[in-house]
Amino acid sequence: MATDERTSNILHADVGIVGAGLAGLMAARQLVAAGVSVCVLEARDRVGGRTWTRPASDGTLIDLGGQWIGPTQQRMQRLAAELGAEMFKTWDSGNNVQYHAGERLVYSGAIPTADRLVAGDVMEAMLNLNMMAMQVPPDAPWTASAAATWDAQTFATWLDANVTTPGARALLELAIQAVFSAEPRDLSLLHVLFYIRSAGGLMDLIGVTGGAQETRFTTGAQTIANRLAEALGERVVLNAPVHTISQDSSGARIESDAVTLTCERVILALPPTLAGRLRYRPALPGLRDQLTQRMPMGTVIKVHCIYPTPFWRDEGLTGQASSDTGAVRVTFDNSPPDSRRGVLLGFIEGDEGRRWGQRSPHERRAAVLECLIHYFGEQAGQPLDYIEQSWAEEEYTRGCYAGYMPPGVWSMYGQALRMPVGRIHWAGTETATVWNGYMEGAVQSGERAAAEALAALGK
Amino acid sequence: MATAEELREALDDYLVRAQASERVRRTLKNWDCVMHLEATDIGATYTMTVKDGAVASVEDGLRGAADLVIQGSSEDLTNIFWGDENPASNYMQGAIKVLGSQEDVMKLDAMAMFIYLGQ
Repeated sequence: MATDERTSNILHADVGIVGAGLAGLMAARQLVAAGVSVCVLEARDRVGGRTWTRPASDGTLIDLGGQWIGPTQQRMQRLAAELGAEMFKTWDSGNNVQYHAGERLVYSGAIPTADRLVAGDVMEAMLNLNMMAMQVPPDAPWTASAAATWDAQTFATWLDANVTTPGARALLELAIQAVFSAEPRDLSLLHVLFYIRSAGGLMDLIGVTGGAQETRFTTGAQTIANRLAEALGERVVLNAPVHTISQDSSGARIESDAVTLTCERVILALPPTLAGRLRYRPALPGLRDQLTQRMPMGTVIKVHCIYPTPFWRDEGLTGQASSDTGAVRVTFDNSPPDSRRGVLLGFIEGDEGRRWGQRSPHERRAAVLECLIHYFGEQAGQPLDYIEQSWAEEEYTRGCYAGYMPPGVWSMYGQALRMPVGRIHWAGTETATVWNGYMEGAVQSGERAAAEALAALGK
Repeated sequence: MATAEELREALDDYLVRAQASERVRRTLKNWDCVMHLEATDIGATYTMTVKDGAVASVEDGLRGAADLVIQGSSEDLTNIFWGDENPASNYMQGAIKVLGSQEDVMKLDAMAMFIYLGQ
């Protein structure tokens, strides 16, 4: 328990944690279990970070942020079970829609197979990427034998050299946009391979059944953070944006707009770019500070359209569409578990997110509905409700899904990603070696940072 | 349900199609793998051996040490080896169980898709 000292706004704890997303809350949970006092400072008026669940006007729960977990995400599966968070499977029965060159095709399975040469090229590229990814050590990607070559090129450069059919290239670009909410030209090839490795394989990343989009939470993904925070009680302080972290031989001091916290160890559970906005005394080592200048967040606007029923299911469709054009190029069925309503989820990602983020909500809505009509018919044009969330506009996230590495960053700055700076330990999904960028990675990072802090405290 | 003879026929045909696939030979070059197939409902077993990316032989029974174990009903196994079912479909992903190293499983998935696509 954080205890008051002299005045009401100076707190003390063994470990001060910045950020009440899954990483910070998980670190707090581990430390409390080990008998250490903690205090979590959160900038927002809520916990959960990139998980955020809100009711729509009709009460349907909408995940504005991260929402899925997959079968190999064991920490999240275990945590959800421990916290009693109910889960259900993403609707995945029927055929998928591919909208290509203005035409709508329906197909079954993970990859559109109408053009067999294209499908063969996609499979070959995926096999090659998987085999390269297996050579990348997830705890030190820069030590892979081909790391220098892979980190000197973007994913787009690799596509240029290895994927010749335009149809196959378009599908692989879409997969990358959907996984990173960034463009192939933005990403280091080495980072893409690291990410594939940290998830297990490419199908684990892009798959619904059997993959990262398999399971949802009945009461929304924020349930996990909410329950972790409930158990922590007054140890979590909301509305406390941290601005300064000082440390010396006697201890550390975390100053926020609301309270000041003195502690022995600090866990910063923030994406690197947010950590880069804080002031440090003494200043961070150059390598660490420059790392925070080099990990941009992805760009995504998540949109939901609510309908009276999941009408696409009547036509034998999964609600999953992929497209080579339009604002929304990837969709999913995001209906509630009782199917009381139909909900289509669309992502406006990468360049489309950057482009449409500058337009009015009215224009965006029209562009989204135009896409959904192409994929699912005229009925898609008449939603009961339209809800959008632009993560680039979030001051305390600055973009989603995660911070990524452009070329050269892993090679020169990778070692600074998790290396503690004095009393400061780094958490957040960007520091994970397993399911980096996902809730699972956030949980792993929180556990790891807590273990580091415990060891430093001699416990 | 399929008979052991029907499944064997599908496997022999699969071998011919795998050998005819230039893409399989090119992308799976250097891949050696012993696969044990088990049709759980009829108790039929087979061994398929891949050498240097080419399916080299299909034999009755379980021979040698397996790198991959593939289990399913005789019907589902026959459908997949005849190429009637998309191996990447949700149904097949649930119906066929494959045990082995991640690398071998990924290579088998790719081979199965190439052959299904006639690539």
